[in-house]
Formats: sequence, structure tokens, C-alpha cells
Amino acid sequence: MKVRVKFTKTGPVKFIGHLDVMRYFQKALRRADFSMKLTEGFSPHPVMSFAAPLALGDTSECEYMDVELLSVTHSDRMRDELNAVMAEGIEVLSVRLLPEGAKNAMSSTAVIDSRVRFRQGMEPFGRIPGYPDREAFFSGINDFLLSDEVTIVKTGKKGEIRKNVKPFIRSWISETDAFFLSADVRETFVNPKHILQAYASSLELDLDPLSLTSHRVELYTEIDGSMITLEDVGQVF
Amino acid sequence: MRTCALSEDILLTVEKPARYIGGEIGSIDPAAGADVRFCMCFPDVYEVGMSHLGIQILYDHLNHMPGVSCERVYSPWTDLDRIMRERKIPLFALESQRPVKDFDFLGITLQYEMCYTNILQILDLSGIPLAAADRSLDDPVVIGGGPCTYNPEPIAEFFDLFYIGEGETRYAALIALYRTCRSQGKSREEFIREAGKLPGIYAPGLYEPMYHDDGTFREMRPLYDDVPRMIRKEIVRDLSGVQYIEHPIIPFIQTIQDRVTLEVMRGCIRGCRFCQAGQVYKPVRERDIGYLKRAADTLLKNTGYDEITLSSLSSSDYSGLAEIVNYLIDHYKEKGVNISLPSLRIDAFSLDVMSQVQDIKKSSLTFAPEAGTQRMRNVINKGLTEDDIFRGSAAAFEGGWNKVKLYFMLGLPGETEEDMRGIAELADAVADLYFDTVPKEKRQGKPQITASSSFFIPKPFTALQWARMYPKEEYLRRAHLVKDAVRAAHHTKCIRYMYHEADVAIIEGVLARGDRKLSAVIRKVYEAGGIYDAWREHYCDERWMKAFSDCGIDPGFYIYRERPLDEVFPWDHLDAGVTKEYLIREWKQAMRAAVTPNCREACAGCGAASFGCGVCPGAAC
Ligand code: SF4
Ligand code: SF4
Repeated sequence: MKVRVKFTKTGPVKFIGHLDVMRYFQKALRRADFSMKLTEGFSPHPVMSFAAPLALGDTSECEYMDVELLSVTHSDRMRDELNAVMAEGIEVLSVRLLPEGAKNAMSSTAVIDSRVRFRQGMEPFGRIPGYPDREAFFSGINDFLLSDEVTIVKTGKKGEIRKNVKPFIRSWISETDAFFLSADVRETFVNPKHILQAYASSLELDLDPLSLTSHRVELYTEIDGSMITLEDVGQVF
Repeated sequence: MRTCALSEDILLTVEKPARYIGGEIGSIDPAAGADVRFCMCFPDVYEVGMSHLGIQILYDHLNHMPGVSCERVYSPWTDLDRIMRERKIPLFALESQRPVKDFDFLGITLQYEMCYTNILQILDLSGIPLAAADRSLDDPVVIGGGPCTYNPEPIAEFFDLFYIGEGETRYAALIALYRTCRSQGKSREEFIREAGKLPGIYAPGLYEPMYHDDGTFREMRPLYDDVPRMIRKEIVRDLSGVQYIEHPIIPFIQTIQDRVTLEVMRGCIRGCRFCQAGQVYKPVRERDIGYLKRAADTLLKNTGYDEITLSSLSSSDYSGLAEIVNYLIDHYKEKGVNISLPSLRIDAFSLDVMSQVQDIKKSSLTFAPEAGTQRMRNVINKGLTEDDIFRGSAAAFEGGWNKVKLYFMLGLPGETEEDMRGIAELADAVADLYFDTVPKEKRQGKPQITASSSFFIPKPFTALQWARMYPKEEYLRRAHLVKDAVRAAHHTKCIRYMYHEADVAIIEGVLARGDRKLSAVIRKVYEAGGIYDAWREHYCDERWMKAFSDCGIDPGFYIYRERPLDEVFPWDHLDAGVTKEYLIREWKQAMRAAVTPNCREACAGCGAASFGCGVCPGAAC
């Protein structure tokens, strides 16, 4: 049987990479004494799957991990058992049982909601010449995103790739000091930081990519035409 | 939520920022009130330092003391080092992220000589004066521990105190003394003077080294009458009587020892003549089997690691090895916990164990004959015979292994070309054995024999501490001779030969048996930008050579002469438990290529029986 664990990643642990989070949970599950199904062979390991990796330095309140277990007790009890062995900044929000045949967290993520803001002490306002004030900057995003094409520039292995991501933007909110984006990530991974960068360059402003941080709010999957959270795919037990 | 000492833009630009954030499972919450704050340092990068068991033991030990908190610091990697200097960011401890300079103690573990420049990096980045003599009450008391304290003279200038021996015994007394001195408003000097009288504590500033005109050492003269002339190492007599770590720190990022480490015993019965650990950790003291089983259970439960390693200098000599290994297999194999057994002698038992816990196809067997001929192995008292190696390898080949690693040393005293060629011959003979033992239809390709050699470095408190070293060119000649012999070997295609760097060995040799005059050299190297000398890519030979010549010091003086038996050494005022008479006897035995039995076969009267514990005759526990 497979359970889905939802957890946060905030505070200093945001500087731990995705692979290390996986290793962290392998040990945490043992500390919590969960009876895990192990792979065969000389180095047996638990069968785990993580949803879309979070970039180093970004935070989240909706990380997901699926793991195969041999037995379970109760959702709340297992959540508490995990929380008793967590490091600061990683809090388990729920443990749910996945229905037979459910797709894993990695492959089923369809939509990511996230919020981008400037890192503390790295805001350009009043620091970098040419920047409007904070409010004007964030409210200007509306006009930018209303146009038919929103072209972002990704630098990948093959050099610069330009892509119109407008079709994948489901909704956005320009807040007083942040930008909230809900994006469909099935065809291409839409990074809200790239959108802010594209916006800044439309204003001919320099935007240091390091100065932005993204916080994931929720992940959704599509089931029978409607979007439900990855958490709600599983059942409380 | 904890906050980081480094700003986000820095953490995002440096390699592996998790090295600097702290907060690992098992690390302490520094918020809890403590009146004495200790910062423990391993002067190398996080992944190396976090793998060290000794620090984990002391961390646990100190944090169990009422009113004491112990935090950690490691060397910032070169990328962060640069940023911290540019932006004048003080070095901080991981737990509280507070400056190291604000602590009461800075403890630095000294595991290898090539970390000496990193000690200066740590002090400098912390804003602590490099020389102990320049420090004030605002600075932490800087105390060194670990194997290099058996000759701490080259770095004596940078330390207030050295702790000689095992840390579990005297820190409580040292900290109590610190509290008393502080409450009585005593000065830094007064505290250090008092501390220098505690057993196991060496305060180098209370002594003045005296030299002969030819530069050789004359004596270590105490500056005051009440300062001890000899400082005797501390040991834990009953290892089952001290609590084992229950909650080790579990790093977020992968480190070198990323597993539970269970220390089954301390010391070694074997007395190999080149080996410092074998002498300074004497006598062998085993942990009780029940103790180990309980500790293994607790540690695996508390950490969630899926691997446990049995640690000691020579695990095969632990008398309960079969029992603890079987216990671990019976209780944990089902749960997917891997058991690793370094430093095992290869025999039927160990092969059986290994076949249960390792993937034979992937793993290799390791032998450390250390020398190519039996004569040379007798010189160094390495008990391993050709027969042992052949029997072990044959059994291993039959069991399905085909990878064998052989470790050697070059430049041992009295080494002849025959001994050098012996390395290639031994490797060839092992390869030959594969073809003899394994029938054609069962062979999985060729055997893969890896022979590697390091250059022998004489260390204090060993039987070979009088030996000379050789210039780089000579080392390379010897390595090439071995290489040519491997090339000419019958099974040359099955053998890979590798040798270590010769230039680093020379510096390590100078520092290992050096005196206080070398502090100036180390400082010069550091000032010229030298850090991470233990890392090949950061080591710079010219920097060291220039520092020697700038200081007017000839490195050859320390290493290119065989020292006379009546020469006084800069470490002779330290008592590691083994007497100089015993070491001289062993040196003479070595010159005759005569073997000395191990501690279990017959006591060699090394002097360590005076501790009254362990394997020694008349031991009380
Ligand atoms: S077996 Fe020899 S080399 Fe190994 S620890 Fe013991 S004395 Fe040292
Ligand atoms: S006193 Fe004897 S038994 Fe004890 S460590 Fe020395 S040689 Fe070994």
C-alpha cells in the first residue's frame, strides 16, 4: 500500500537540495519505525517518489512524497510519529492512503501554485536605479500578463530557449509585495521567477535571479477533468 | 525559526550551502541556557569533519555536562572563505550561528598535519589572534586534541592548551577550573597556568624549548617550578563504563562516513612499527558485547541509518566480533540495514560475513601487507605473511570475488630494490593465484589487482621515529621502479599500480617530527594564501618551500638524517604510555628484521601496563 506524505520546507532547510531531502526522508521513515516495503538486492531501499523538485533556496508548504508501506495505523498518528522525528522547517502536514493504481506524485502533478517575492535585503526598490516603487512594480504585472504572448527566456544546455508560456498561465494575482501564479506544468515547467524576469526586462530593468524566492503553495492533479490537490487524492485512514 | 549567519545571497552562491546552516537532527538547541560555551572544530570541510567519530563523542560528552553547551564549526570551503574575508564576516558556530570568538573554548581536533594551515584559517576568520600570546580575556581558550598532539610543537604557538589523550576523562575538571577562575576574576594567564597542572593538559606557553647549537633539541624547560615536567596521556580505562552516543548528529548532506559508527574497542594489539595509532592508543580495551548490542539498537533506532560500521583499528582482533556481527545480521538484515566492516583481516570468517552483506561483484578485498617482501614486513613488524595473503585471496577468488586491493609503503628503513620489486611480484602472484584457483568456465573476466603505495613517514612515538626520509626525486625513482616491475610482470594487464604524491609526504614528515621553530613556516604559508593543504588541488609545494627559505629553515634537517638514539625529541616531555626504552628496543628489533609478538601472544613490556587496564598483564579492568 502506498501513502502520500505532505510536508513543508521552510527556514534554513531550504538550502538542502532535493536529493538530500530524499535521503533525509529515508532515514526519517526508519526513525519513525514505519514498516517500509524494500527493494530486493544487496542494498535494499524504500520505494519512494517525490513530486516536482524544489529549487535550492525556495520554500514550500506543499511538498509531497509517496512511499510504499507494508502496514499503516492512522493518518493522524502516523503524521505525529513523523513530526516527532523531523528537523526544524520540515513539518509533516498529512499522511494519506493512496487508492490502488493512483499515479505517483512525480508524474501526476498538473498545476503548481506559487508565490514569488524578493528575498530579504535583496529588493531592488530604492536600491537599483530605474525601478518604480514596490507597489507600481507589482501592479504593473497585470498589464504585462494580459497580452497574448508572454515570452520567457530559459538558459538551458542548448543555450537560450524562448517560449511563450501564456497558454499555461491559469491565473495570477499581483499582491502588494509578491506575485502569485497558478501554472499548468504538464507541457513545460513554468517558473514564476522567469515570468517576473521577463516582466522586468520588458521594463528594461535588470533583475538578479538570485534576488527572487519562490514559495510553493499547492500542487494539483487532474482527475476526471477537475483539479484536486495532490493531498486530496489520498484518503484519511 | 533559526536564522542563518550568512545572508541568502551568499548561501545561494556558495557550493553546498547546507554545510553552513546547522540544524541537523541530533544537533543541540543552543537556546538552552549554558554558562560555559564550547565550540568544537574539525579544521577541514564539513563532509570530512562530520565523519569523524571523536568529535561526535566529545560533542555528546560536553553537552551532557550541566551548564555546558557544545557547538561545532568546520573550515569554510574556499569559495566561502573568500567571501567572508571580502565582507569581513566573522566565522560562526553552526548551532547558534553566533561568532566563534564569543565562545569560552575553541577546541580543535588535530587529525593530520596537513590541516595545520586550516587551523590558522579558523582562528583568523574568527578574529582570534593567531598567536596564543596575543590573546586577551575576550578570546576563547584555544585547545587542541587528537593524534597530532603527540607532537604539537610545530603548532604550539597557536594554542593555549593541548589535551593529550582521550577526551572523556578531563574536560569536566578543566571546565570546573574555568568556572572557578572566572568567578574569582582571575586572568587568562592564571587560568592557563592552573590548567597546565591538570593531568593530560599541556600548556605549551608554560615551557620554553631549548636547542643545541646544531639545531637539535635539548630540552623542554618548564618556566615555573609548579609546572609538570612530563604530561601523561589520558585514557578511558573501562570503555563499557562510559555512555555511548545515543543521538549522533545526522548530516543533511552526504558525508564520508554516512552511517552509524559503532566503536567496538580502542587500541590495537599489533604494534606495527610505523604506526602511531597502534602505539598512542595502547592498551587495547574492548567494549562489552552486551554494551555494543544495546548501543547498536539505540543508534539504528535514533538515526534511521541503513548502514552500521564497526569501527576500531583492527576489528578482526575484537574478541566478540563473530557474535556482534551475527547479532546485527540476525536483527537487521531483514530491515535492509547494511553492515560494513573496515579493517578486517581476510579469512574464512570475514569472507563468509562479507558474502552475506555485500555484493561480491562490486566489492573488493583489501590487504595491507605494507611491504613487498617478508624481510621488510618483519622490519615493520607487520604480522601479515605471504601465506595469509595467498590463503585469503584464494578463498576470496573461490567465493566469487575478483577485485583485490593491496596497500604498500615505499621508503621504509633499509629498503632495497628487491623490496620495491617485491610489491610488483606480490601483486603478480595474487593475480596468478586467480588463474590457478578459478577454473576457466567460472572466471568473470580478469582479476583486478590494485596495488597502491604511499611514502613512509616516520611519526613520533613509533619504533621508527628515528628513521630518515628521502628527497622527492628518490621517492619517485622508487615508485617508477615499482611501476616498471609491474609493467614487466607476467599478469601486468591485471594489475594497476598507483602511488601517492611525494612532495606532500615530505612536508607531512617535517611537521610530524618538527619543533616549535616551524610555527613561523606554517604562518608564512598561511599568509601566502595556503589553506586546505590536505587537498591535492589546493596544496602548493612552492609556497611551502618559499616559506622554509624565508624563515631560514632547512626542511631536510628534520627528515633527511637518521636520528641518533640519544637525541632528545621535541615530544619527549609527553608521555604516551609507551616508554622510550621500549621504542628503542623495537627500533633495534626492526634493524635486525626481528618480529615482536602482539599483545595477546606476549606482552612486550611497552609501558602501557601502567594504566592497569585492557589487554595488559595485571590489568584491573
Ligand atoms: S594493525 Fe598495525 S597498522 Fe593497523 S592499527 Fe594495528 S598497529 Fe597500526
Ligand atoms: S604493556 Fe604489554 S600487553 Fe600492555 S600494551 Fe604494552 S605490550 Fe601490550
